[in-house]
Formats: sequence, structure tokens, C-alpha cells
Amino acid sequence: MSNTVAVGAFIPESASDLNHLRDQEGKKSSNLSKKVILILFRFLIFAIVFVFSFFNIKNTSGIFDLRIIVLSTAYAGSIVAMFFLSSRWFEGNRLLSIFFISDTVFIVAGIYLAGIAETELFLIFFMTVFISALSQDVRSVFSVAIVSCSVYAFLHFKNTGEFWSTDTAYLVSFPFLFVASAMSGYMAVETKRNKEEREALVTMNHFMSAKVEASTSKLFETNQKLKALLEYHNCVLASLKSGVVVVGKEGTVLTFNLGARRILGLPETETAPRRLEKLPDNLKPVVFALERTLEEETGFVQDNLELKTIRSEIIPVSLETSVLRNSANEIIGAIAAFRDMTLLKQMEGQLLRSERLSALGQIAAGVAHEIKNPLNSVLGFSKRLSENMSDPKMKKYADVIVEEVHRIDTIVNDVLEYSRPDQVQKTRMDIHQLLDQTVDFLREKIELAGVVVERVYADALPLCLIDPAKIRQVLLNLMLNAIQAMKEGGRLTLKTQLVDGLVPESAAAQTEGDVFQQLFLHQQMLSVSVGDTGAGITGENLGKLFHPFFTTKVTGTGLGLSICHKIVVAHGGSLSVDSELGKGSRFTVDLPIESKDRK
Amino acid sequence: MPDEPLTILIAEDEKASVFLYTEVLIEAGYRTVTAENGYQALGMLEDEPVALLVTDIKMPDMDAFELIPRVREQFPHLPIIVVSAFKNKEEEINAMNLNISGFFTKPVDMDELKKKIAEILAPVAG
Repeated sequence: MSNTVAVGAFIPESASDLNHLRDQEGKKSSNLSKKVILILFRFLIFAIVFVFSFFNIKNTSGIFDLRIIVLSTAYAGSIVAMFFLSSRWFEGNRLLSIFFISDTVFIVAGIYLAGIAETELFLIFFMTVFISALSQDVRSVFSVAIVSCSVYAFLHFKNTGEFWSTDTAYLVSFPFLFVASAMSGYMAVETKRNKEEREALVTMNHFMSAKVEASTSKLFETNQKLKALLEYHNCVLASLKSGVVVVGKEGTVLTFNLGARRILGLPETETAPRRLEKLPDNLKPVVFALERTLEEETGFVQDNLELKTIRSEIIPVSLETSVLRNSANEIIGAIAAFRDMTLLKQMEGQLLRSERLSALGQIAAGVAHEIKNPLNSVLGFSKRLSENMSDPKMKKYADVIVEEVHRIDTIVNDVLEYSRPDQVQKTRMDIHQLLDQTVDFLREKIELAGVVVERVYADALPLCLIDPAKIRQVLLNLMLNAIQAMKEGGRLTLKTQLVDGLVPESAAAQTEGDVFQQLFLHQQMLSVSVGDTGAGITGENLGKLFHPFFTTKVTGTGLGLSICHKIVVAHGGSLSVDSELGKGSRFTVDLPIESKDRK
Repeated sequence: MPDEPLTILIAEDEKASVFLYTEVLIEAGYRTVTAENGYQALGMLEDEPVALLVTDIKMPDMDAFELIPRVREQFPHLPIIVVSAFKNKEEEINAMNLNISGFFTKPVDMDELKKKIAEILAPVAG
């Protein structure tokens, strides 16, 4: 019993399940055998008592004594009834005791009715005592012994007329019966304990195997979790746009993520080198930073670092290092994380430029006002002079003043235009219509220069979201430049087509909060090119083409292309030029078809 | 030309420009009165009948943005021509919905101005 309790203490959560298992397997067989043993035993007693009754008849009625027949039939009936009793019934000691005592009563009744001498059947009591050990309980064995002794004494009294006797056999019978019952009771309890121990072992076994199974599945689960964690960890590292390099204390490379490769333009599939020294030369500043971090045992930030990509491009990066510590707070390595700051620098530049422009715009507006007021009267009066001069020479002088005033006016207007904040008011517009309008506007100049206009328009172009006035200004400027480049005549080629291009998501409009998280979207763009067959542009001039105030013309302000560039950029597009000396130039305006402005 | 010349009020703080407009418009047969700012212009309009107002935008004390709405309160049908150094002021003026008859950017082409005034005043003179 103590074992079972001990086992029970081991398995608090699964004890009931295991007990149930044990009940199903163990008890069934033992109860069945108990039932069978009991039935066999009773049948044996029945047979013995009946046979003895038959052969030792002292009564006149003998075997045909009605009482014997009734008793035998009842007993036999009870044996048959036992067959139909569930095995479960034989487990309870109370029922077993009833069986044992009723057996004793039957024996005694049989002996008494048959008139057999009590000593002759005394051994049968031993049998009942032994069989009562089936109950596996000392108490029920002893009670059977006591009942047996009592009825034996009663039989003796019936036969001899007195309880006491000097007959040794009779006197010895009592202690024998008790010793036998004590022995069988002890054996029974012992057997029961053995059985319980065995059952406990079985239970233990079940428990152990269940435990092993549970821990195996837990191990599997943990393994799965670990795998998922590792994958997650790898995904995080691979998805980071920042470069991450982690090294161990001895200089082993633990992590060299995809971001780092992408920033440097290294092949993405190559496996990371094992040693810090083996990292590519492009990463030298990062390696130095890692070594310094390990040496000084403290991380640092380096903002204006430059890395050279595999294509020898210099890219600005912001680097941050920190020491890698384990859970015991011991330094086990160093981490370097660096970000490509190209876009940020570009945007900083743009911001600086727009700040400068806005300052310039304010000054320009003030200056323009102050210049235009005197120009108003200068132009008015010089025109009046020109109209009223009779001397052609004087008239000519006045005309020069008028022309020069116009020139000043143009310069002031260009500066005003260039320094004005980028504001576009977009509507859906057919670009071909806009091109044709511009050609019509320049008709006179085109014919005068002997230029042929060639239109290479793409079919079924979608409407474009643009500021028509501004884009017209761009086209006018580009066409004027083209015509001026073909003084001896030539061909003006206007070409439209759809192209794939990258558009900054936050084109023109400032995005809320994430100004620097500018994303470039891949999208279809409308490409409009204006080509000429003029002299072309020298390589030296090509680079300065969009610089404000750069000009190759005697009369130009040098702001035309700068303004065009500004307008196109404000549309989220780009303006580019390719030119070949002696063959001509082509200016291309790429405009996004859909505006991504968030307003 | 009618016997009684029509009066044009010129609101402009630039003396040289006032001189130019006066010269040209008198030569064209109009009578001119001038004001240096919005307040003076309002006073002039109350003093005598004016056929047309030519006003600069930027003037001391009261500019055209303030002057024109005040003029419109009393003279809803007075033709007004606005002159400015800045082209983009035209949009601002138009946005105010003040029923402006014309807009000129400095330097003003005086022939154009004369033509415009003649157009506006033709029915009146008629």
C-alpha cells in the first residue's frame, strides 16, 4: 500500500489515468480467477458434503431426507448464480465473507443433517479457512475460523451432549484451525502486497513511459520553437536595410547580413567569411570600428563615415557599434550596424537648396519690385522718346534703351521664377495637345529658322497629371533652345513614349513625418523628348547645363534650363540630356502618369 | 473725343510712373487726378466723378488689396485697372472676385494700357 501512495505522490496529474489503466488490465484477470476459484471451491465442498452425506447416513430417511435435498439444491443454486455475478462483486470483502460464512453454515448443516461424526469432517473447515484467504484480509479469515470453531463446538455438543471433552483430537482442532487461519491470512496479505507492488511497478512503468513520451514531445516542441526562432532571427537580419556585422571576442564573424552586402554591392549569396580579417576590404572602416569596440569595451557612433562599394562608389554611412554581452554580462563580441545615408544626404541637400531658394526668393521678390518700378517709367519714357525722335540716330539710341529694359525685365522675371517655391497645380492633360500648342506658338520662329518638325507620338497615351502652364513653359523652353541650336535649319523631333521609371513616393509633396524614408516606386512614366540636329553640347558644358546662370548664349540669363529642371522635379519627374557634338542634342522629360501626392 | 474729358484716377506712389501715366493719358485726351495711397484715392473718389481707376498694388498706408474692396462698397461699377510689379498678383486679385477690368505687369506697355482704357470707356464716351 505504501508503494502505491509513494507512486501516487510522484504522479499527481496522471495518477488517476494510470490507476484506471491498471484497473482495466490487472483487476479484471485477478477478479476473474477469484470468481473461478470460489466457484470451484464451493463445488468441491458441495461434492464432499453431498458424497459424505450419502455414504454416512445415520438417519432413517438418509439421502432422501427432504432437508438435505432442499439444502443441496439451494447451495447448488447459489453456485450457479455465482456464474452470473459480475467479477466486480468478488472484489469486496463483505460479499466474500458472506460466501465463506454461508459455506461454513452449509457444511455444518450438511454434517449435522447427515449425522456424520464431527471429527471426520473437521478438515473441511481448514478448506474454508484457506479459501477465505482469497479475501486477502486477516480479519475475514479469522472470522471464518471463529465461526468454524463455534459450529464445530456446537456439533460436538449436539452429538455428545456437552461442550467440554477430553478427546485430544477435539481439543487440538481449535488451535490448529486458528494457526491455519493465521498462516493463510498472513500469506494472503503477503500475496496481496506482492501483487500491489507489482501493480505499483506497472504503474511506475506506465508513468515513466508517459513521462518519457511527454518529455520527448516537449523536446520536439522546443526544437521546433528554436528552429522558428532561428528563422525569425535570420529573417529579421536579412530584412534589415541596415548592414549588421557581429563578431565574437576572438574575431570570428558571427553575422554578416544581407543589408551589409547590399550596401556594399557584394554578391548576396556568398557565405560570410569566418574571420574578421577576411572580411572584404570595402568593410575596412567597419572592421576597425569593431576592433576598437572590442579593445575599448565600449560602443560608439560614427556619423560621417564613407564606405566604398564594389563599384567604387563612395557612399555615406552612419555607423553605430556596441559590445555584445551574454546574460552573465560578460563581453562576448561586438556589433556594428551601419545605414546607407545617401538618400538622407540627398534630401538634406534638397532641403538646403530649397531653404536657399526660399531665402533667394524673398530677396529676389524684394529686388524685383524695386527694379520693376523704375523700369516701368524708363521703358515708358524711352518708348515715347523713340516714337518722337525725328533724328534716326537718336531714335536708335532710344530703341537700345527699350531693348535693354526688356532684357532687364526678362532677367528679373527668370530670377523670380527660379526662386519661387515649387508649386504645381495639376490637372489631367493630353501631352500631345500641349506639344502641338507649343509648336503652333513657335510657328513663326520655326519657319524663320527653316526647321522641320517631326512628331513621333506614341499611340493611346494615358492622360498625364501635370500643371499645363508649367509643362508648357518647359516644352517652350526646350523647343526654343532646340530652334536656336539650328540656325541653319534642321529637324525638331518631338517624341513621346511610355517608359518604366522610378518615382520618389514623396515627389513634390512632403510626406508626413517620414521625410527621410523616401521610397522609390517603380512605375510607368511618360517620356517626352525634344531633339534637335544642331551643333550638340560639349562634354564640359553638359555637366553645367542645369546650373543656374550657366549659358552659352549672348542674350540668355542662364536660368531657362534650371527653371525647367525645377518644374519637372516638382512634378516628381526627371529632366535629362544626351548630346553628340555635330549631330545634335536630345532633352528628355520623364513625368509620372499618376501623381502620388498625398494631400 | 468728347467735349468734357473723362477723369481717370491714378493711385500710384512712384512719382516717375505717375508722371508717365499722366503724360500718356492726358495726351490721349483724358483728365487725370492722382493719389499716393489708398486713403487719398478714396478721398478723391468722393470729391469728384471719376470714370476709371488705375491703381498700383503696393502703396504705403493702404494698398490695392484694401483699397479696391472699399471702392467697390461705394462704386460697384467703377472700372478698375490694376498694375503690379508681379505677374502672380493677378491670381490673387482675381481670387478676391472684385470685378477687375484689367491687369498690367510692370513695365507696362503704355500702348496696351491706352487701348484697354479706350475699350472700357468707349460705351461711356459714346
